[in-house]
Amino acid sequence: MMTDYFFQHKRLLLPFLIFISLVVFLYHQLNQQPTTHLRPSQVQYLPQFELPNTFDLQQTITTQQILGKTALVHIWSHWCTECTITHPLLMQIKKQGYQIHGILYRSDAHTVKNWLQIQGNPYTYLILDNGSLTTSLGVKGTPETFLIDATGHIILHYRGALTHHIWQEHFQPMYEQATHSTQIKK
Amino acid sequence: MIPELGHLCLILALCFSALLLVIPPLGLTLKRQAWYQFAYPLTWGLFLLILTAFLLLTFSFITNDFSVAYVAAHSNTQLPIWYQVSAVWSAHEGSILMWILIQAGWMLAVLLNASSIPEHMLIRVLSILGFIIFGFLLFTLATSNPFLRYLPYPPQNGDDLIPLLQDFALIIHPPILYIGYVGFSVPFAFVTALLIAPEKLSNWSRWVRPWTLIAWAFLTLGIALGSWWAYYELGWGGWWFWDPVENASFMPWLLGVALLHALAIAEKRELFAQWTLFLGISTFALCLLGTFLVRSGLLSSVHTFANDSERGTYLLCFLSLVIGLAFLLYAYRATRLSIPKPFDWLSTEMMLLINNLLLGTACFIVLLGTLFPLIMSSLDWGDFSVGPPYFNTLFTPLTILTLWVLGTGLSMRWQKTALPALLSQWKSMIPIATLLAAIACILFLDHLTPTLFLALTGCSWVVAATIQDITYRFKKADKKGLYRIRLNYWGMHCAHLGLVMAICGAALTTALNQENEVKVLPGMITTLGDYQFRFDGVSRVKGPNYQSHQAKVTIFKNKHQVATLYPEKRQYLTQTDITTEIAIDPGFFRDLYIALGEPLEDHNWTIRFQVKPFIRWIWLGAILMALGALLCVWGRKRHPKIMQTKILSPQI
Repeated sequence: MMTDYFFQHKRLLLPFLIFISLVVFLYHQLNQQPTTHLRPSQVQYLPQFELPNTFDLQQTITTQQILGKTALVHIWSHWCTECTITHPLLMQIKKQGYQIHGILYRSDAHTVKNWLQIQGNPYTYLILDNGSLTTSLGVKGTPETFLIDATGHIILHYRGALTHHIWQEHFQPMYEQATHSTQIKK
Repeated sequence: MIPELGHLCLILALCFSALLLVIPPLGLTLKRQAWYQFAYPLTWGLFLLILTAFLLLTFSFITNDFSVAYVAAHSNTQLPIWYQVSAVWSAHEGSILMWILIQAGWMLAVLLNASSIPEHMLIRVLSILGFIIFGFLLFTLATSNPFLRYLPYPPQNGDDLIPLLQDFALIIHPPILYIGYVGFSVPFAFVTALLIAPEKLSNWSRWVRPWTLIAWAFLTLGIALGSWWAYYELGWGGWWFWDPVENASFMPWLLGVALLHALAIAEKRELFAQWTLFLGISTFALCLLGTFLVRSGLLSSVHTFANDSERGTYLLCFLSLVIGLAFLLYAYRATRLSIPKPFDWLSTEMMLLINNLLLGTACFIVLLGTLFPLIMSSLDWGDFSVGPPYFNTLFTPLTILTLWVLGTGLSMRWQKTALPALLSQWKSMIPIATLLAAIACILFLDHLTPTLFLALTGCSWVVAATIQDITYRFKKADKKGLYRIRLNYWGMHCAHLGLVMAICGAALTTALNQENEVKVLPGMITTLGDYQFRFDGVSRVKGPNYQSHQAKVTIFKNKHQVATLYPEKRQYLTQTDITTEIAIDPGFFRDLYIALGEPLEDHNWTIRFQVKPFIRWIWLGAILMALGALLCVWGRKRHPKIMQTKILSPQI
């Protein structure tokens, strides 16, 4: 008896099924983001810019200061919890002698300075940006990481929090290779 | 202390909503009056607690309490006071708090205007809304609490509000949009309540329709305000961008229109019960989906909030719980509500059904376009962005088709339209439509494209149908007097004409827009259409929290001065980015629009001049639509006869 009017008409279940598949798809997307987002960058070169230095707001940093050496460029914000997860890894990479620059996206310079004093600072240059540079780099959200060579050519672009695995598997070999080829040119 | 008090209010509100979710339904099952009537004080309590929390947050903003992280990130001591207030809802945490406040406001509104609704239905509605508000309160407290402190190093001054948001339209755009967005939770709650305890469909639609109309009216106004803001603030003269967030608000709008018309059928003819309920659930589902897409950062846009995957996961779980349960309930119970009744091909029912299908298709197109980049990247087919070409190509024919269906539908009668009667109506409609279309086409002959032609003829057809319908009504109402015509009748026509006006505006602006980007020296004259723009140089101006370069441009038409405009480039003191403040000379038939570009050498500047005909019609049309919807609500209130119907025993 009960089963008779449990879902008598199967077509009425259709909205539910479509809705659930949409949710599953979106859930998948939400969790897929960090792992599938190693991508060829759509922007070829680091754009020209002149933006304030987070550590001394009176000074600016230009593209020329960044160039000349292979480097990681890490885009992050102080309000973004995922970005802070990456911090220990960046410190470790820094200790191994790799160069890291930061682009601080829409963040409070004072807070960040305080925070870096406690946590340690992996960044050679930390550029304060309210969206102009990040937009021209095609950044979708924080954190994202770029690998650029001495000429500012973008070699790798990774969306999401950098992990140890991604660093060792992809970034480190490319970093070594880029440094090597720069030395040969010199 | 103050922020902690606000925090406490939110926690108490969470407890209240949990009680509202559990006790009244239990009371209904156990038939204990005291239990289920507990819903009323709980609703009041919820509203007052959330209002207090909201006011306390506002207080923290006004008093520049930068130890509150949210205040420090979005305000500044130099910010004028009205922007300090509007900064409360300028970012994620505060806007979610406002969302909750509005939700509580809607609950209270339902409670206070429920005289004709049976008590068990009212209690269920409140309880379901209590569930939704519970979800959002939990969301706020768990992932986006605006009262969190910035200790032990509170900054001396805040980060300032993003300059783009320091604007009048942005003070009122979010509240109005949210009233609409959140308002669709009320029809949703009514749908769910109906599925739990069946009622007579026509009575039920009578209770839901005013709420749907109000929500839709506010959504319309909110979208129009957003479009107006984008037009004058973003600096390139567009009024619709097909940005994911715009789409997120446009989808519930489209389905909202469908729902309004479906409810009309349900009230008059008790037809399409399943379809109406489906629309009721889907409309709110799209509101929640939009919130999820924007707040989770899955799609990026002008509106991007601070992203956090935790928030996305929470919202998605909440969304699937609320909507999933509703759809499951729908699958289980909606069968018992359908009562098939015959109607003819030539009838209002059929036309409204076609209208619903068109709107449904339109909504699907927008949804597909919005999610397409996600689908493509998940299949590893590369990065795709779906832009205006996709939407415009698919949307234009649908819009034109809708106009024709609308005009035809207005000339139909319920149930069955006799063919001779219809033809005699058309006989008087066709000359009017032809005349109107001919005038319009001759006026814009130089720029006439097939699309514009079809849009203009479609609009003429609707106007002709409206005129025909009104004269018919006048003839019929002759003896009894015109004042007997109900206000909601005028509301309907007002909304339809608003749509025509908006579509006309959109079509004409697109077709007749003229623009020119030039390099100018002081004294130079640029001619664009009938207008001459004279650039008179640039001076430096100081504002309260910014410095700017202000250009002076004098505009002439046939050697008569029309206007003097002052476009600016602003540099805000606490932020590094520069904003373009465009200058507009507005008019009913055209806008003159100037955006100052970049400084070049030797006092040269780049500058963009635009003449945008009929652009105001888009927003005026939206205002008419909203006004029409509100007239319908008011008409119902003034004629309580419509509200009073015998409450029949539920048909099961």
